[in-house]
This record gives sequence, structure tokens and C-alpha cells, in this order.
Amino acid sequence: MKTIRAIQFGPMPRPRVLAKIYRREPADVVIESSSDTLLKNIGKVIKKYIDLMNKYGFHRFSDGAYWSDDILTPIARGIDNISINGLVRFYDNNFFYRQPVVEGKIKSKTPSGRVVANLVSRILKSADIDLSKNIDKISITVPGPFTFYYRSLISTSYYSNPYSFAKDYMYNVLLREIEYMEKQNFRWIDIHEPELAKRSLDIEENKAINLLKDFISVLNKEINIFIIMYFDLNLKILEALSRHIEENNVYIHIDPISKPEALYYRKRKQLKVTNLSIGVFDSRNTKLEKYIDISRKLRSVLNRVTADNEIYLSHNAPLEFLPEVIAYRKLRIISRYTDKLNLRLKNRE
Amino acid sequence: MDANRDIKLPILPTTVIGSYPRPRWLRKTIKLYRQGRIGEKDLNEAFNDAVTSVVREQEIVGIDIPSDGEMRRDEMVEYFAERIEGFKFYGPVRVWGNNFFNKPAVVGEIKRTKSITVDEFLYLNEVTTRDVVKFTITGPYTIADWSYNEYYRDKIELASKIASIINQEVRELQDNGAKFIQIDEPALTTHPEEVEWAVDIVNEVTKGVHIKLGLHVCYSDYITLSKYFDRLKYDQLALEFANRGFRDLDILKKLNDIEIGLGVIDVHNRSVEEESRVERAIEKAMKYVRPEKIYINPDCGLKLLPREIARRKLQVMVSATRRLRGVLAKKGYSYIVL
Ligand SMILES: [Zn+2]
Repeated sequence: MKTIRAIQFGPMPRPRVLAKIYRREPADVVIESSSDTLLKNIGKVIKKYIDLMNKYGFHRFSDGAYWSDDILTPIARGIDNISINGLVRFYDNNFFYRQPVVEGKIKSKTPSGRVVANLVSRILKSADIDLSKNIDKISITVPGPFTFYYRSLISTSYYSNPYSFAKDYMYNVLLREIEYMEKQNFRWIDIHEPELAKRSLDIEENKAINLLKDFISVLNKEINIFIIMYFDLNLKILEALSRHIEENNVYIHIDPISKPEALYYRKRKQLKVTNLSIGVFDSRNTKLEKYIDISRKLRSVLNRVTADNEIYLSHNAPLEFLPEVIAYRKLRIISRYTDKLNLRLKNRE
Repeated sequence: MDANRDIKLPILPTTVIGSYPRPRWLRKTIKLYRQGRIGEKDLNEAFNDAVTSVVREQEIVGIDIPSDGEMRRDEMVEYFAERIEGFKFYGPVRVWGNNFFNKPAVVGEIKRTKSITVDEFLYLNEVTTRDVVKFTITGPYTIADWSYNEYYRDKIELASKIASIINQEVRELQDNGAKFIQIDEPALTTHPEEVEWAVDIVNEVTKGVHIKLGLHVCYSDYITLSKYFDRLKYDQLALEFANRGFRDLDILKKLNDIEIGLGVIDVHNRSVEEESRVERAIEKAMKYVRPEKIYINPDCGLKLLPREIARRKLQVMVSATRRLRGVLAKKGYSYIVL
């Protein structure tokens, strides 16, 4: 059997020291006008985190997204015809984001400083790390088109449905991110799509996935597209993904923890995607998982969903919902468990 | 209820939801305490003095039913979790921007080993010059929802354990002379699929309680909540309406015999409301609810506002209410009993 790898994605818990700094110089202006001191301070936090991720042997990981209050605001600020509204609950968490208001046809603002990948690249350069050894492991965190649409206030008649918005968002906003990533040698884009995980989805699965498929087909195959779904599990979407998307550079993340019953809903037959990431470690509970429970859970997931190529192990949703100390303990457990599992698989051969 | 029959209040009694801005000197004192530069005795004296002054401030403004401003509480869930056995704190988690909350984790069987808030209530009751005060308790569902559950089988089991602890607390407050307690449940509709059992959990709190009980639910889905109005065993519902531009007021039709604590002041906006706007809002509510069933309050706790603005907002609320009382008096409405 092939090697199973440990991976991380999404924002990490913000250390108090960084919050203190941001109170003087807000993180969401990091975009163009931020001072070198601010970048250096974020850089210090990132270095500590990336060193640990390497020490734990993670195959790939985000930059920690320490620069953003939430995953929507930084990218929203880089888009024309979007303004930022008040605080709104992020799904069913006691966590709030600033709601984007879509006021007309969206397109990227012109200066490249407004691209998230540029921001990440600037911060990484100010951190004391060897970029040549890390850049192909570090992912850029962006909200997916459907999550962006449904977490925004649509105050224009220009977009009467999520599909027309998704198309503009992918080709006018995400594509620009990806082009910038290529220039900087990034290899991973993490498209956060909790909206697609919802069982009460308002979206027509095949239509949504076909849009994604068309978009992926125009992209450079060197960039890995990681579609990350969490807080719920929608088997219909997963089925559509397994049917329509076969590209080797596409990875699908599922969360079988938040609503465990969702795994057993509907179809009996096993679904197969190209590359699969399974979030069996709970990022919304401080309890540290026991290996035996994880193995049981993993077996039951693999009975329903599996992959042709890679299988990754991860946390179910972003780790920022945990206290920092617990987030790091979870990462250590993910890495140790993965090592143990690989050893067992190897011995069995 | 029955125990309160002798307490008379003007029609449309004015009250608060609970928290009030901490005086600047109190914040400094707390900081000194955390740095180890003053002791617990000094801190307690400061808390008492702060309660005295914010209660007096509410009374001067004309609030009929003041609270202690929750001067002693940093955060509504944290405060209770610190005082109930079985909770542990690993560190802060972010709620928005640079605002953190010490989200507790349940790591063992939870137990109430001593009273949590009785001393707090007794102090408030002693310093007020009013006949009745409002005393606030965080509800069991919100405590469960804002905690990590490491110990109990599921959230229902955890929430019902907390409900029995909160019920004990409320009954002890009742025995100590409390006349009006408000249970705060801002999380109640966060998970629509859980509201069905969450309503039973919040009703657990009312067992053996004869004094007036209010339930405060804010920044929530009131359409969902209104489906459960007839199952709630509370005397009053305190809801936020200024924040939503007084939309959804028609849900008040479904309240039947439950009173409304009508939120008429936006606590997240620093600009002080026009008196006429508050008046119009109350008039609009009276289309759906009889005036003797309406209490007037801000949307939510005032603690995030600058103190001066909080005071001025209460002033506007009181004077708008007084104008309407004049109108109501001509129609024969003057007093109600608590
Ligand atoms: Zn409230």
C-alpha cells in the first residue's frame, strides 16, 4: 500500500503577542501599506510555526494565515465592487467574520499588492526561513466561489445565482491569485468550501462541479488545487466530484467528524476520488484523540470514500477554533499517528 | 409571579439586559490585580464600589429595574465555568478580530460545589434603592455550546447537567430574595437542528422557581425561535430589535401570555438614538402586544460602549418611554405588577 501523508491547512490560532501588535497596526491593512516591523513580527511567528511543521514531518501546510482576521476579508478587499460590512457568525461557530457586500460585477483591483499570494510571499520573505526548501509545501488560503457567494450579502441584481458569480470569481479573482503563485513558485492553493459540505445545499451539484472542472482545465497542472470542505459532509457533492474531476492535481478534503451521521446517509456504494484528504482529527474539540478511535473512524470512512492516488490525513476544519497549545498538540498527534500507520502498512506488506 | 404581586411598576417598566461599561478606574484596578500589585481584598472593594456607582447611575437616569452591570464578570460563560467544578481552561480562542475568549473545556464530571452568584446578588439587592433588580445568569445551552466537551457522551448530556446546576443556582437566589432573574441564551438558535431539545434544556432551569424569569436571546434567528414560544416556560422574553431595524416585530403576535423585553437601543453602534425613533418602535410593538406586557430595555448588554454613551442611550430610552406613559395614562394604563 502507498504511503499516507499528514497535512495541515487553514488559519492557525493567533498568538496573543500578534494580537497585541495588530491592535496597533491592523492585520487587514497588511496588503500594501504595512510597515517592515509588522511584516517582521508576523515573520517571527511564521518561522516558529513552519519549523515545527517541518519537524513533525508534514507533507504540506498553509502559511498559518496569520495575516487575516478571517479568510474572506483580505481577498474581498482586493476585489472591485465589494465593500465590507459588519460582523456575522461563521457557520455555527462562536466566531465572526466581516461580511463582504457584493455591489456589482466583480473583478480584481489593479495593483498586484492586493493579491493574497503576494501578501503571503511578502511575509514569508520577511521571515527567517529557507524559502527554496519550503515554498512547494506552503499553501495559499482562499475562500471558494460558493462559500464566498453564500457568506456575502449580494446587493446587486447583477448576480441572480451562485453560478454566474462563481464563474466571475474563479476567472477574475482566483485565476489572478494562481498566476501570481506560479511566478513565486507556490504549488498549493487551498480553496475553502465549507458551503459545498452542507447537506442542506442550495446548489445543483453537477452544475457547480462542472464549473469547477472547466476552471481547473485551464490551469497550469503544476499547481495543486485543494478543495476543502468542512463543518458537514455532502455525499452528493462528493459523488459529483468523483464523477467529473479526474485531474491528478486536484485534492478533495472531507470532514467526517462534524456531522458523523452524514457519512452513512444515502448511497451504500463506495465513492472514489483522485486524491483524498480525510479530516479525522477534530479541530473543534480540545480532546486529544486516541489512536484506536482514529483507526476505527478511518476504516469506516474508507469504506465509503477512497482515492485512486494519494490519501492524506488531517484535521477536519481549520485549527483556529482551538487554543494554540491544543492546536499544536493535535498536529503532533496527526504526525505521530500517520507515522505509526505507515509503519503498520509497511510491515503488513 | 405570585410572590411578586405586591411590587408595583409604572407601565412600560424600563430595565437593562445586564452588563454595563466598567468604570475606567475599575479596569485599571483589575490590571493592577492581575499584575499582582494589589490583593483580592482591594479588588473586591473596587468591584463593590463599581456596582454601587453603576446601579446609582442607572437609577439617576430613571431605570426602574437596574442590574449590577455584571461588573465582576469578564465574560458570561467564562465566569460560570470558572466557578463550576469539571471545567478547565487551555487558553484563549479568537471570536473576531483581536478579541479572544477563554473557551472552557469540560474535562470531568461537572459539579456545583458552592453557590456561584448569591453574594453578587445580595450586594446588588442591598445597594439599590429600587423595589426590584434584574439579576442575570448565563443559560445552560449557551455554556454547553461555548465549551469543548471532552467528558460527556454528547452535548445534550452536558447541557442537561449544566441545566440542573443553573436550576440549583436560581432556586438559591430565589430563597435569598431575588424577584426577577434573566437567563441569557445568545446561542439558542445557533444550531437550528438542536433547538428542539435546547428548549427543553432551558425549561429545566425553571423547575421549582416561582419568581419572575426572563429569557434573553440576541443576534439570533427569531423566526426559528418563534416556533417554540408556546413551549417556553418563561414569563418574559428579552429580544433585540434595534439592531435589526425593528424588522421581525410581527413574531410578537405569537407570544401569547409571555411578556416582551423590547430591545430598543442598538448596543453595537455608538451614535445615540433619536428619542422619536425609540417612541415609534415601542408604538409599533404595541400593535402586536398589549402595553401591560411590554418592558423596555436595550438590545443587549451595554459593556462594549463607552460609559458616557451607554448612559446617554439609557436616558433617551427612559424619556421616550415616559412620553408614551403620558399617552397611555389617558387611556387608563398607569401601573402594572411585576
Ligand atoms: Zn445579548
